[in-house]
Amino acid sequence: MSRASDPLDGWLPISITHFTQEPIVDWCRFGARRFSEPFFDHTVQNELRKPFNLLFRHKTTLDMLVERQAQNPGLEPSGFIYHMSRCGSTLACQMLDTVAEHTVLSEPQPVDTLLRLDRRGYSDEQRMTYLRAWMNAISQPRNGEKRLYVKLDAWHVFDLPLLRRAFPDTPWVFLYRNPLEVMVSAMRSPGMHMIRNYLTEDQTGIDPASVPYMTQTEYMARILESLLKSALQHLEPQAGKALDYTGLPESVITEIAPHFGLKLTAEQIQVMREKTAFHAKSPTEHFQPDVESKQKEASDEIHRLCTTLLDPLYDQLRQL
Amino acid sequence: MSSPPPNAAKLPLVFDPAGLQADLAMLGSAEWVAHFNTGFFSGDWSGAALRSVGGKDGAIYADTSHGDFANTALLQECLHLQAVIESFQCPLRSVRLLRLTAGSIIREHRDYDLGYDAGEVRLHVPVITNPQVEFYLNNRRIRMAEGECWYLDLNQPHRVQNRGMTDRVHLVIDCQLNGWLRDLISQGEASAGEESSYETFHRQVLQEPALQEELIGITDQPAFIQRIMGLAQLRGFSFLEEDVTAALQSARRSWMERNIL
Repeated sequence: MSRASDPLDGWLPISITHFTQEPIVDWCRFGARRFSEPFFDHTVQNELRKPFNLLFRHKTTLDMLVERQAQNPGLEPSGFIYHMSRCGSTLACQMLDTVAEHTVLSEPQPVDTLLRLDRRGYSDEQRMTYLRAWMNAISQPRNGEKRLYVKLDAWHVFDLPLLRRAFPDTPWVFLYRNPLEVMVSAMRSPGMHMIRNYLTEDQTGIDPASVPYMTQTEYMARILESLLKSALQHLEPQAGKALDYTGLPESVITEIAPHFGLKLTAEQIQVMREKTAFHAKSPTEHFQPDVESKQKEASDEIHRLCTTLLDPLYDQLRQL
Repeated sequence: MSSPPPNAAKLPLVFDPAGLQADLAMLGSAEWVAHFNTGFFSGDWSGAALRSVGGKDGAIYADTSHGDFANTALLQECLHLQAVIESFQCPLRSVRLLRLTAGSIIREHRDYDLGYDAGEVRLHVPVITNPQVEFYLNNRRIRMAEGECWYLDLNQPHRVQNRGMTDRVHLVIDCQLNGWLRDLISQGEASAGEESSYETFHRQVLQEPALQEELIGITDQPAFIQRIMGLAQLRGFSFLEEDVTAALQSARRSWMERNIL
């Protein structure tokens, strides 16, 4: 098939749904738009404001992703960012995104959908094949991009061994923060994983029978505990690097970039530093250190849960 | 458990359109009550009640309550329609004549008050129609001829365009499902419908980058629809703006619902 007659040339697999027995890949004619919004889904949502992109989309099977792989090489991921949520991971992505040659995907929904296919009876091999094929298709260079970075969902630290097998050459970091500050931030606006039973016992080790007897605060602390334990378990054997929020934003330049094999020019570093003056999730607001306000806001229950459950794990991470 | 019914099926029942049309001719203009919800349609969509709760005249909206249904005075005068209705061996609820005049359209919607699973189904008997009537169920065109009797799953999105020069009148019968009707539906001739003119155009756009270039840059929805209509006319397509609006709505809905498993 010649390039000219390839109906998917220039289209990206923005979503994977499974209304039907077999998952469907939803392709959108994306043009040159970068994934620069704080989250992958926000960029997609903005692109779908064009009536054409709302109305005209190709729908294919997952196997189409695999079939296209050889003829349409995309980028091999140059770095994965795992995190405990509310710990500066969005800021790190926004800094990486300042380099024109980078594609940065922040918590892309299709990765989560593909990882969950085990619940539909898909084998590890199949999930790895489709994850690689999706990464390849989504990272088709459209503006001369050369490197791909992906920030995963917080709970994907549980899927780390599978992702390592699928992308053995991709370095990874785990971002964390003082649990007290994460707890206060999560109380203000909890992520999906903080919804009770959104994650399963297989992932978190939390007995569902015990969940109804927990306060919301305790449940959140237990989730963070499971994320930190999982990260601690994988960091050394899987060659990851753990980074504390206290080192941000400078550590993106001094620690993450070298770990990802990324050589930044003086000019690129300057642009990154300028980026850090703004709040990552509301780019029009200036970034303001909020450690003090978060510390003050913490309830007695949060203090107690941090002391008993989370601080020991935080200390272990810091000693790595 | 038996398999679910198709979206549309022509039942093995045929009525004489001439007799039904003779009854229709007797109805004066006063018998027709206009639908008031103009958000749903444009033009003239009106109805005449033949059976309603308490036999009340002019009750043109299907009644979902469990009141006692009775024939209206109007039905007493329409002998052919009466004969049709009496041939149904299942409990009947609302029975109406619904008229969509020439040039009128009913926008895409769903009738949530019905359902095979809930034991209530709606049957359509075209009394008078024309070849330019386009009825779409789930974006598939279903052609229904005068005197035929159709089971339709109207929980699914559907819309009607009367693009002909004459009115379209259907006898619409709401039935309580029983063994007799279930058998009748299972003996029916299922219809998958035909691809609509809009769908053919949609497929062409997906295959032709040149056509995509004409549309991709337009950010304003009305301008986008106008451009589609212009391209469609050049290429000899016959669909209406309503078809594009319905497709945009359906695309928006399925995007919103993409994560519902």
